[in-house]
Amino acid sequence: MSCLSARGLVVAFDGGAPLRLPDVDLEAGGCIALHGPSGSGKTTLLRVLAGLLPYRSGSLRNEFLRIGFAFQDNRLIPHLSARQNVLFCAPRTSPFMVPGAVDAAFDALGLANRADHRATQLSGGEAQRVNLLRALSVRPDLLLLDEIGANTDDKTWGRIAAYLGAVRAEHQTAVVQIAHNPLRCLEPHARIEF
Amino acid sequence: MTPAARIALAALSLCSLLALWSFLATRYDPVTLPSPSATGGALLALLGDRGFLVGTLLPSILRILAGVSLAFAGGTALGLLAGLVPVLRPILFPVRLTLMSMPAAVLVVLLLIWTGPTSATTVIAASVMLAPVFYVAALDGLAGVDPRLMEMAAVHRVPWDRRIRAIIAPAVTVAMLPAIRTGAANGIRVTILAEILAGAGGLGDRIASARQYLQTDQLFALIIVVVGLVVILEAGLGYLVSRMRGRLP
Repeated sequence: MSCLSARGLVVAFDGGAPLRLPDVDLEAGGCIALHGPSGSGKTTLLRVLAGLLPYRSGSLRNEFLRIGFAFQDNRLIPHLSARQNVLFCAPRTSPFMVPGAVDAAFDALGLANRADHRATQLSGGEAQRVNLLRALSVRPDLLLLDEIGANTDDKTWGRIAAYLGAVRAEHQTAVVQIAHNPLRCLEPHARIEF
Repeated sequence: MTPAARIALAALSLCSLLALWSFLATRYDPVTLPSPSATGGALLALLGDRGFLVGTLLPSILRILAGVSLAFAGGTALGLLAGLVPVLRPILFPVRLTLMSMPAAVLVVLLLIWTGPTSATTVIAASVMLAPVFYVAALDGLAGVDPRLMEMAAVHRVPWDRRIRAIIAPAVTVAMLPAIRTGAANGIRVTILAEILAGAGGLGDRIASARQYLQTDQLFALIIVVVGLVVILEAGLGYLVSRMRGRLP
């Protein structure tokens, strides 16, 4: 039995034609990759699944309790440090509230010594990893990843993939990911083409 | 331009102004234009007079602070409310437009008719004239809150107190800082004007008396005191603003 099921979702934008989104089924610990050209509706689907965008018709059942969303445009709070950005979303039960846990996570993603830098002082790739850690800070059971590997080199992507692998193995985190580059994509159980 | 060069240019400008003033003072009657030295003497006499400091200067400063504080509290509260409840904006629009386009002297005259020449009149005049400035700034600040950050906070179910502290308050503060500087300087101008017209004591009342008795050297000294107040306030607020800006988006 899937925890997430979307059927026949249609969204409508002001002045635009209605957009029919593909059906999605996802179990706990599952992983789906969304592929397709820019503007085909991949991010729209993520936003609908996150509850950020209403749909006009269709059905959506979401039994995941905590959603972590790593946005394509990072959305870091500019006047806060990288550490403060990660802790901004963290509830008291977050794994990052354990002393030293944030530093360990920064270290694992190759961000050692960057934790106390302002968000505006981070490179695009660094900001993307802080964005990912912030999404993980809520200990999500559903993780939505929008092009998180776009600004990374092979070595850094290796770190990200290994870290996410460890987190997912521990918490059975389900993932829906968008990646144009198949080399910057977690190994999916299913692929959805737009 | 380096800070030293800026200071040197400002000093040069001031010296030129003093030289021009000295020259013109030799051409005119002291009642029309007192010399810089006579004005300086009158200024020193005023600043050495405890009665002036406590009985004239202090009441004016307290009125300015009260007027600006009331305007800040009222204008900001209404601006935030109108930002959160959009239907209030068209309701408050005519009031804001009327107050922002009304000359301060006209408002003071109306207040004198309604409330009489009291200390409260000067405070009310400043607060009513300045409240729209803070109202607009608070409204702009709320409009400047990044909706993408609010969306990010919503999807991660961040508590509202954190959203206010980290996203909303900094955006509003960025818009409020210039308004505070402008508002405080205008607060001095409106309060002094109200005191001149109301005759309810304070610097303005003293300026009106000096004009009436043709004590022009005192009049010039009082003007320097008012300018000094604006300069001190501007410098103090400018320092605070620059310190806060370092911690804001």
